[in-house]
Amino acid sequence: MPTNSRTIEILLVEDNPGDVNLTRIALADREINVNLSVVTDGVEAMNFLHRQGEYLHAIHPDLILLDWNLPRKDGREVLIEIKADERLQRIPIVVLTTSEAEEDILKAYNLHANCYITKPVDFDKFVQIVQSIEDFWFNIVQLPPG
Amino acid sequence: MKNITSSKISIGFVVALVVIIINVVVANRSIQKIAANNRSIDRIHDSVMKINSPQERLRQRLQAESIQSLEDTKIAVEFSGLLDLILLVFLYGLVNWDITKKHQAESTLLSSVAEFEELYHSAPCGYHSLDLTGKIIRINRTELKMLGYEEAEILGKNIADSIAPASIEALHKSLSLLKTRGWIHDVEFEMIRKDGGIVPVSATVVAVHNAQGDYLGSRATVIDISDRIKSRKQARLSAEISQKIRQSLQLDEILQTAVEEVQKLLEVDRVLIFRFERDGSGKVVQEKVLPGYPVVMGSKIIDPCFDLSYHDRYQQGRVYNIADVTQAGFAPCYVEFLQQFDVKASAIVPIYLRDRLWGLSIVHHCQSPREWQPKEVETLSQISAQIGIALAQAQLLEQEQLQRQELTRSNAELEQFAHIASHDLQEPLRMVISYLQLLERRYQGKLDRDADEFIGYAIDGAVRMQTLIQALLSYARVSSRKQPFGEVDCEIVFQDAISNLHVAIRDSGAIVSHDPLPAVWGDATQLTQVFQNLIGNAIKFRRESPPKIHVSVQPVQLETDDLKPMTSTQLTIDLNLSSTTETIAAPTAWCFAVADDGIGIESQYLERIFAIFQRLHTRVTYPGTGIGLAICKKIVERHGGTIWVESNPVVSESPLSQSLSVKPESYGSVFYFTIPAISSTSTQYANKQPHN
Repeated sequence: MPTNSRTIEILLVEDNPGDVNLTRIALADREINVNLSVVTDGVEAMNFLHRQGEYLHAIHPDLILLDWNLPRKDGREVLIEIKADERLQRIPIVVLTTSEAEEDILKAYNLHANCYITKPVDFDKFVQIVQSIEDFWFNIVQLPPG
Repeated sequence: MKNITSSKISIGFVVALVVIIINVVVANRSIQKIAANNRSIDRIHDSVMKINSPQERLRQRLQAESIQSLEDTKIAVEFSGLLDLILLVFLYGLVNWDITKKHQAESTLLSSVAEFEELYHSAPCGYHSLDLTGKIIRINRTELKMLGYEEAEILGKNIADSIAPASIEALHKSLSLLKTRGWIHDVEFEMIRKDGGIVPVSATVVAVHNAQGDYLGSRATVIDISDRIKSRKQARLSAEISQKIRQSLQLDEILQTAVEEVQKLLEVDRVLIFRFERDGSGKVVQEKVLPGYPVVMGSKIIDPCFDLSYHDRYQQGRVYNIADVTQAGFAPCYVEFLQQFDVKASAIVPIYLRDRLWGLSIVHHCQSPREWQPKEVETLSQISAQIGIALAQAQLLEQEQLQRQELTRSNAELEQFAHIASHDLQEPLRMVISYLQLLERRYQGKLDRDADEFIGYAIDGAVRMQTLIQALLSYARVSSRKQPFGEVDCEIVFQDAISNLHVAIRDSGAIVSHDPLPAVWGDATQLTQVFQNLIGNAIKFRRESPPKIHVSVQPVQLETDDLKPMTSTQLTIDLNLSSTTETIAAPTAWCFAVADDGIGIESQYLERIFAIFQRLHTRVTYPGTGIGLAICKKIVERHGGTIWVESNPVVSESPLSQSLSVKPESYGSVFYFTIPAISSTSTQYANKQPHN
């Protein structure tokens, strides 16, 4: 398993602090250096990506973990805007949500989400999934050159 | 009278003495005169004979008398030849006396004739007489007037020429009846007037026969029945209109049909439907007005002219029928108001919706005042009553539609609620479970024993909660993820269910057998779920030994249109048919049975187990949420079928025992469910899916 020496930048768009914390726990204590940035709604996510407002010095993320149900601007709108933006559209987006609704899943893939994952209830499974995401995108997949 | 007679006798003497020959001449003249008298009597007799029987008797008497006197005269002439002067003179006197008597009879007769002629011609009904060939030989003035002819124009013509083509058949029938039976009564004909118009008549005819019984002709009484025909036509039209009105369930359509048809039927210039408002005022809601007259609908009706006390009178069923509005004693401003719309005559009938005054049917005559016929007002009343019934029906329908919409809406809301609630409840619950697990992970053994136990219970409860929400969600999905019905091969459905259950089957060592299964009309995914849940239950509620499960099927004839749940006794299972699908002729449905040799179900719980979250065992012995059978029931009912269970059935009563591969004494439960077969009724079933 190839190990990337540089720090991986992940943007987590999530309004639930519980989930943010669980994601942090899952990512901690791993061989990969991960820098997790967190924004809590769609508007902030876009500001972060466009380096606007307080995110003037934000780092271009390698991966976005996007919750589907967000305040102000929801996951669907964020997905549309990112995929329509030439500078952002190559960033892999993992939709990570509670919804199992078929229409949400279809919608996400139709809008070019890179994958759709339903958050498991079980803590262990959650950790496992987050770590799998990490492994897949940073150890297996060849990401587009930054 | 005696003086006249004796003077005549003395003149007779003189004459007889001067010229005897003259005597003969006189006698001859008398004969001629009497013959002439007789002809006139005959004519009168014929005219009179049909009037009535006392007159007939009178005629006979008169005729008999005159015939008798003719005979007398002949004898007298013979005697005169004998030149027996005295006798001749005596006889002459006698003859003269007899002539005088005849004169008297003649004059009486003439006055009778005049009387009968008068009666004959001025009778309110028509009379005519036909000869053997049907030629008109006599007709009264009433009938002449009825047909528009002068007497001379029609006498000698055949009656058939005055009968409209539509009645020719009736004429032939009547003639043959006349010849055989001798009379017809109140037979309706259409007669042709001179101007070509048609007069509907009723004829009562009596045949005339001679003494030998030969048919000589007929005499008819003819009544103009234009009014009868018109009122019959109106009654028929009114019935037609009523039907038209009742056919519609749309308020606007009902009222429009009503005004248009009433206008045509009553030949009025304007028809209005006036509707009262709650405050007693009202407005015209529908109108049919002939071109050239002002339109009332939409114009402002000035309140002071409208007497609101009318409302109460209409409520009491008052019908107004005004031939001339200027003569009806209305307030001047009301007359002015009516004249503004050219109203000369009007009739007004209330319309009731159930028992309450809803509005008015109003007809206006604008070209002239009009005397309304009682029949016309009655017709308007009948149509108004029909409008009322139609309105009530329309209102009922509207209410029903609203209720149905409301039900559909609330069902949809419930679905949405279940769906959203399940999703939204998941989120916080996931937090609870995840952090409890984290707590357990990090702090187990670090707090005290109680803390470990509490955390355990909390996790257990939260996980159970989560399972229930999942169950509720899958229950909601029976509706939210339903697929349209199509042909479903139950062999495939069965195999899919088995493959989904392969872990449970492997672990329990279950033996699942089945009959050849038919194709049905339904939703494959959902039917797979039914088989899977039922077989899964059979495996779960097993005894200690590996379970034996058998799926069989029988054709059934369901009560058509009966989609309500049935008990097993309502279902006819044809025992004579083999269970192979090929030999079964067009069943309306299939009854599937999933039989096991498991623990069975106590009879008092047979109904309850299909309710949502109903469990009969502790989670420790048999884990589960109690949603599986509820889902089965919902799916089966969506398919127009029924599901029920029999437990530990008695072998002899079970039609399925022959096809079961398990030993009878080891039966546990048999779950039955019906699913429509593929046939012409399949679409019907599909259309009848309840909205759930």
